[in-house]
Amino acid sequence: MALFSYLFENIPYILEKTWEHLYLFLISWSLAVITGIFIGVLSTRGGNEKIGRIVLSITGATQAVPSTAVIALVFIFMGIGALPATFALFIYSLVPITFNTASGLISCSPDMKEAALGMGMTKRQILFKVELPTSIPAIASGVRTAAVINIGTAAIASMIGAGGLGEIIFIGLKLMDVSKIFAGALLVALLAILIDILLALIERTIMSKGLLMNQEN
Amino acid sequence: MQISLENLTKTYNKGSFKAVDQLSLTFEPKKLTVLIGPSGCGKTTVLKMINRLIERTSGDILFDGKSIDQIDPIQLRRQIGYAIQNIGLFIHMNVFDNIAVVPRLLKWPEKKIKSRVEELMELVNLDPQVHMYKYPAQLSGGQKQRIGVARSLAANPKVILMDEPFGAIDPINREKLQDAFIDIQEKIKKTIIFVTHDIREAIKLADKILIMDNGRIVQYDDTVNVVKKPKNAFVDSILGSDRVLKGLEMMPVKDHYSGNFLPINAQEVKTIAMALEYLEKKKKTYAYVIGPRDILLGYCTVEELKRMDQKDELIGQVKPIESVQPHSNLMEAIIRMVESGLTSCPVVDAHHQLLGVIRFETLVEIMSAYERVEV
Repeated sequence: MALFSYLFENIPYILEKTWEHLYLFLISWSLAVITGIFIGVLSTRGGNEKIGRIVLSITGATQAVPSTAVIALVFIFMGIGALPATFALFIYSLVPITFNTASGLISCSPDMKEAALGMGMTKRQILFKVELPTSIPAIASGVRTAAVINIGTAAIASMIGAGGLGEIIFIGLKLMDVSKIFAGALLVALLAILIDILLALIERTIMSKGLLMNQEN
Repeated sequence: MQISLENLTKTYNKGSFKAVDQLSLTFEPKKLTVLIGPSGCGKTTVLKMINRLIERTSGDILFDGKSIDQIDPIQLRRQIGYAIQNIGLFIHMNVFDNIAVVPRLLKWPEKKIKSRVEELMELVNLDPQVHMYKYPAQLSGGQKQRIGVARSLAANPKVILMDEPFGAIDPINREKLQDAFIDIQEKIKKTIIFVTHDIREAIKLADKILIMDNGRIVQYDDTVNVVKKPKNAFVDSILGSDRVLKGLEMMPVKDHYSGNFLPINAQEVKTIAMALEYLEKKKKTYAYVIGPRDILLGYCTVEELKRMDQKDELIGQVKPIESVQPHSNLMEAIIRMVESGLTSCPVVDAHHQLLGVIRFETLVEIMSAYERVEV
């Protein structure tokens, strides 16, 4: 009950922190989406998949690095504040997006690509009309994973003075105030779930029904 | 469109491996040419050099006399239909969008595309109303293959390249697709270059057969000539030991049946006795019996007529018989003869009107005309 009374008594403060959190997330994540897809596409171009495979192994391994380590490293080189935090979150979100984009594009059926080429599509048309549309499930799953991880990690980024909902948790820790810790954690989780649902809805609308049926088979 | 190859060569590993070696030939316009040979003989390489999916090492490919180098590869491919074994339908597009790919690349107006898609779906025997907005995942293997063929025909190309388009289909559906494909080619008359490793498919579909080995031509001739006169032991081995029977399979009855025969007209010859008398006068052991408008009723034999009540009406004692039609092949005629035990088989039209007979002795003549190949 102390949890709810804390929440209701501090609505303006909580809204402010939620906004900060969302802001950290949106900037770092959307930059990561653009950059990640771009790197994923570039690394699988040029007919040889070698670079793509290298990118896959690097990004695959990087996913094992703990988020706190990334934030700590960025803190050492860039100091405190929202900017280093955004940068750390960007780097951390980049990994699953790049990994999934590259793996989605690499696993695009060679038959479809041969048919597309044989029918007279240009390389660009093959990318935009065949490879990317059929890789949407893989890319979307990377984008959603990145979003959830990003929102969770953004809470830790409060450690280096980035603000956000993490601040409530860290204040709670200092004061040994369990309801604050819970309130912060609850809000972070809620935000992550909402964003994930929203992204799932977007994924549904842009993904072809044919792909869905193909997965079911 | 006439496609000619001039000393066409493709080498790999800095010239150490010749996939295609100095190939020179002309593909006949509006004909279906099958490229066949053991795997690694270079047949697919030839096919893919024609739409530049593989770049040649030397020599030239001419389209109506124009070198392939003078044509932009993207434009070239949009003018050549292409169908492959694994079809490669776009799983994220419905049937309509799959067929519409090349017309859209060529920026046809949507209205024209829609009527073209419907026309093609009817051509490959798929109801547009039922299948147009289905996704590949909702289609059977045979249906996908039909869409693959329709897609390759979409922009009305003069030339179509097909790389084992029916290879991944079960034998029963493959036969059906081949039959349907023969009808389609009958209607559209395209220059088709078709790669397969199935000799039965080659004989069934091809106007001309190009047999390849080690990147070279072994024999290039009309299908009938290849089957009748295999150039050497290699061709003979590709054709297989049942070459003669395969030959019969590709010869239509219409070229070999005789209209010179004596049926019994049941309207005039009414009783068993009359039929016997007629047969003995003509020195025949059996005859086909026809009714009004020359409709085939069946046959009767001297041996059986003798054992019957001579006053009986003939029409009640006629034995039914399976017949062939002019477009049937000689193999079917042989099978009918084996079934009936007679030395001929009746040939009828679609209304079951008796046109003539195909005789066993004719078949023997055809079979013995095949040249023996020294092995």
